[in-house]
Amino acid sequence: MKLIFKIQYKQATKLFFTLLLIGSVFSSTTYAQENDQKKKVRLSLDYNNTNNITRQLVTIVKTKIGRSYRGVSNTEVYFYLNQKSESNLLGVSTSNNKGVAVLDISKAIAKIVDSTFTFTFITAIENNSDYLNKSKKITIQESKFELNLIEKDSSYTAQIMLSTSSPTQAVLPLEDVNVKLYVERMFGDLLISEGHESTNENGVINFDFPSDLPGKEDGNLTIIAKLEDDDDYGTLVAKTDMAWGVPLIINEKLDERELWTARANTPIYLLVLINGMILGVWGSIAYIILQIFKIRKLGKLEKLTV
Amino acid sequence: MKSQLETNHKLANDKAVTRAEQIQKDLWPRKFGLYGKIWVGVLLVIFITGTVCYIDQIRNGLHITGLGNYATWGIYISNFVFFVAISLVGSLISAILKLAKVPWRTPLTRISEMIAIAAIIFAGLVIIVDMGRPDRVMNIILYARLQSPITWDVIVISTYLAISILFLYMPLLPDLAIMRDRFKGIPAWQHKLYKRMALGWNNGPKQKLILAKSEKMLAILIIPVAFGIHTVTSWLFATTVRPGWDSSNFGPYFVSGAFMVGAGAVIAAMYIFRKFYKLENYFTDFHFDKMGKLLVLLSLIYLYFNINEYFVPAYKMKSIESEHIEALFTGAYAPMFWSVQILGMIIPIIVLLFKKGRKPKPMFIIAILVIIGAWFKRYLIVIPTLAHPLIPTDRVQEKWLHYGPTFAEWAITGATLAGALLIITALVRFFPIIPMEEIIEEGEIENNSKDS
Amino acid sequence: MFDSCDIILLRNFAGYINSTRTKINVNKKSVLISTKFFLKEHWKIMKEQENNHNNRRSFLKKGLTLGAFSATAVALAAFKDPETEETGEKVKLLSPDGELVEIDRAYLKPAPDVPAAMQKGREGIPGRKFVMVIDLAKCKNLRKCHDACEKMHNLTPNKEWLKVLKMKDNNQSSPYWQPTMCFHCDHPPCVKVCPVDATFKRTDGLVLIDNERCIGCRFCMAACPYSARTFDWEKPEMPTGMTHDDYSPETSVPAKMGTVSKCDFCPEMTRKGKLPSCVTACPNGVFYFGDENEDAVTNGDETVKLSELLKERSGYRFMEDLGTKPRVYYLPPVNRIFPFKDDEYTQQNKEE
Repeated sequence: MKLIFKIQYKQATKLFFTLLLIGSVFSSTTYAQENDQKKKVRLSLDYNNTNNITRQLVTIVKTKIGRSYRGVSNTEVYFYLNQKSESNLLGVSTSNNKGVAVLDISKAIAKIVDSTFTFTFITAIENNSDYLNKSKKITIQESKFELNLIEKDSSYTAQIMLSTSSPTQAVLPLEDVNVKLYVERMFGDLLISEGHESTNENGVINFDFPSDLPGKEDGNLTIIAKLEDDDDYGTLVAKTDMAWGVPLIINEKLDERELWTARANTPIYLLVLINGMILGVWGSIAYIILQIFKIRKLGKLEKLTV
Repeated sequence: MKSQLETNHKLANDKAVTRAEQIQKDLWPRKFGLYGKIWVGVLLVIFITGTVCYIDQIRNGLHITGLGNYATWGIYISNFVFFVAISLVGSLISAILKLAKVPWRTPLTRISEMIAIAAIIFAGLVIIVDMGRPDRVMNIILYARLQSPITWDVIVISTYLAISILFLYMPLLPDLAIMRDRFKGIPAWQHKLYKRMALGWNNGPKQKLILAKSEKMLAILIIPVAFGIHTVTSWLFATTVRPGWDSSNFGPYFVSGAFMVGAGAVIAAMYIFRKFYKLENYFTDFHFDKMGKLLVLLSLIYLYFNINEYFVPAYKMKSIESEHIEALFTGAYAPMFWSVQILGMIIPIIVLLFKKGRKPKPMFIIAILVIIGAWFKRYLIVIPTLAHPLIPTDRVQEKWLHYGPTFAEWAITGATLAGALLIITALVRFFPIIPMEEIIEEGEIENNSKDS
Repeated sequence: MFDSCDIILLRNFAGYINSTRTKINVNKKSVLISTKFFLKEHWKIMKEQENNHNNRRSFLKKGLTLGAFSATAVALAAFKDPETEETGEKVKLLSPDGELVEIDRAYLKPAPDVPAAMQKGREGIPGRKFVMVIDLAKCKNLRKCHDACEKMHNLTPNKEWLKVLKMKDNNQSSPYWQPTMCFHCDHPPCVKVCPVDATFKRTDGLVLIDNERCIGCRFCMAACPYSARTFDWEKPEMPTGMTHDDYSPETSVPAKMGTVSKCDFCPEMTRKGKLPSCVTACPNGVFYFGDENEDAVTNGDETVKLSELLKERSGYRFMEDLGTKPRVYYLPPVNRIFPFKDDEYTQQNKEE
């Protein structure tokens, strides 16, 4: 046992050192190649605030392939607050196949959201084997984005109020900011407003909400107001559910009896006709088979020779 | 005077007895001679080749055929339609001619029923051969959907098979009794078979009455079912919107074609048995003459439906149909189309209009032409339509559009035809081709009417 | 104590236990005595359980063929069971330590994210009525949609579920590219003619195929005027990591030999709120997909009101006069972004 162990140990160490040698040769060659081949990337950074509950940082990483820019997948992106240092690291996220990396910072920001009015966010790609280091910085002013749904008589109005705070003024309405109104649909959000409306001097927009949009079975709609891609305020989203839609009435044609339905819903006329014909014909066949048995019985009774 | 009458009667009786004996001797099913053995051997070889190819198909899928995603139905389906068509002969001879009280049909009833049964059995088998998943054939019964024409087809085909078996078996009872009673020179197991199947038939009046009533019922029952099987089979095509199939004429077109090819099959069988079994006294020239006239009538009816089927769409030339019609009349399928129409329909009509054409030998050739023409006619019904789908196909490779059957397909198709012929051969080996008892009785009726 | 061999074996055994997630109780005391002994014991226990379950498995198979109800009940029970019950079917796996081990299939990762019982494939996503709009003014025959569909459903060049046809309405008008797939008609001619209820129309508008019931008669292929269906003429290639038990009418994968299949509007994607793969693959936004009940369709970039889109852009359906009521609308190829350019396929066929 001990001898076998000794021999195995010798063989193992030999193998180990050969592998180490080969490995080092390969890694040195690849290292030299990598530095020359690192590509440049473009970064975009956006701050998303939904209903003041969910806050996200969204980075899109793109690199030039041929003549156009394509998203870079599976790349680690670092997010920082105010400064690019270890203590200010908010988190790391890996980009998806479209190059989009998202980091949820709701919890991290929640503590400081009221005391600071302006944030600086930095996104960076660093120590990446394929791409050169790159970073992008944005400065966001925290703002208050409200969606109020007002129902008066039979008219529906969606009112958006956009304001921010400053050290001197508690409420500072934001004027001339483009806000869009959407309704949530299964695969995307449907634009309800014209798209070019902006807030007035009070930071308010009033949208007339259409009354003919189909909603869920109870008439519920998810109404969304969005301030998109603003350099100062980020992307603000306010979502509410409201029963302002036309209730969905499901008129199930598949329960009716048609030629294209399942076998449980065969049209009555087919059922009657076909089963009737089968009964009629096979009933007659059964009768004739009975006659055969009758012949046999007669054959047993009367035993006359031909 | 009295003795003369008695002698005459006795002579007549003796004559009758000897005549009966003669008929039985002539029509007794006999062992195969050299030709018969060669026939069976060839059929077996074809059948086994096809079966081997079918086993390959079960294991490796339908891709051993020439079928593709455009040409989804091929010679399996056209063969199926052919078999269903031929099987209508049973209803034609046994039922229609019986109800029309046509007297010369008697020798033909049994052979037509045998052909009908063999054909309908193999129609069912061919459909299973064409299925992609024959292991799931029970689904047709377990999950049957009454809205589908295939379900209707399954129902009518099995009904027709049941009725045809009864229509073969019941008139066979008197002959089985004869064979049970005169069993010299046959092996014991064969005698036992006849005895069991004869059900104690003794030609008693009660039994005869039951038989006559049953036969009449069957004859009335089989006619709508026969019309049903071929109409429903035609609906497998007519319920689609494809060019060439989208026709309201398909039901009568198919049924008339079926009667025609059935008549041809009976004529061919008549000739073969007349020659090899020396049955000139039974399949007489008179029978050939009458069958010839019947075939002309059926062919004329078929010609009428053909004209309706092809001329009317050609007049309209709707763009969906024009490619298809042009392919049939002047394009890729034109040689087949015109030879089938001319050799398979026009020439038979012309030849059979003349008395000389209705002699046995020319009629046999015509019958073979009719049968082969009918097989290729079904090919022309099924395949060209699938080569002209409703969507544009200029970007599809020719090999996936145009269908050419592979050797495996021909082998399997040949096996089904050989199989049907084997069934007929087996039936003929053990059961008389011509109903013995009926011929005997007919002769007696004739003689009695002559005497009185 | 242990020698090095035992240590190696113990590590392997630990890794093996991790990969099987077995619930067999291993007495800690016994492990200290000998690891080799326990490997043997483990195999013994596994074999015993396997024998007990082999009979049950064959009975299960018979039950499935005899009755849908009993089959559904058994299938549901098997999947709902929290204690993984061994099926007796062994699969070979590579353990984390590089050893080839054979474990029961029940311990593998669950099947793809689709409803387990076959019955569920016949239930539509509630409250939805899927519809597609194809903007022919934008189609350039890039065939990204075709390639994405081919990849998603493991298709071959002969088996095209999404064809891009070259249409020419008449001699004077310009040709245009028309992506065509199964239109999931409201009055489907294919469903009418199926003899075994293998293809069916769902409440959410989709027409799907149950490849475990299909008998391969191909009547539906003859009945479809749009030639949308394909057939598996030979044994299809099994996608890696899949077995036949992973099949569902909502994925249509893996394909089954001798059965019919077609575009299914990717129900496994739509159940998760994602768009079908052809819609997302098109770089020009040609395909719009959505819910008719919601009156909204989207092509991944923009969401529009379905009724407005069809009204303004004159949406029509292919061969409307056939009465099949397709669920795919086309927007006419007017005001095209790109001029028509022929491609090599048509050139090839012209030369032939």
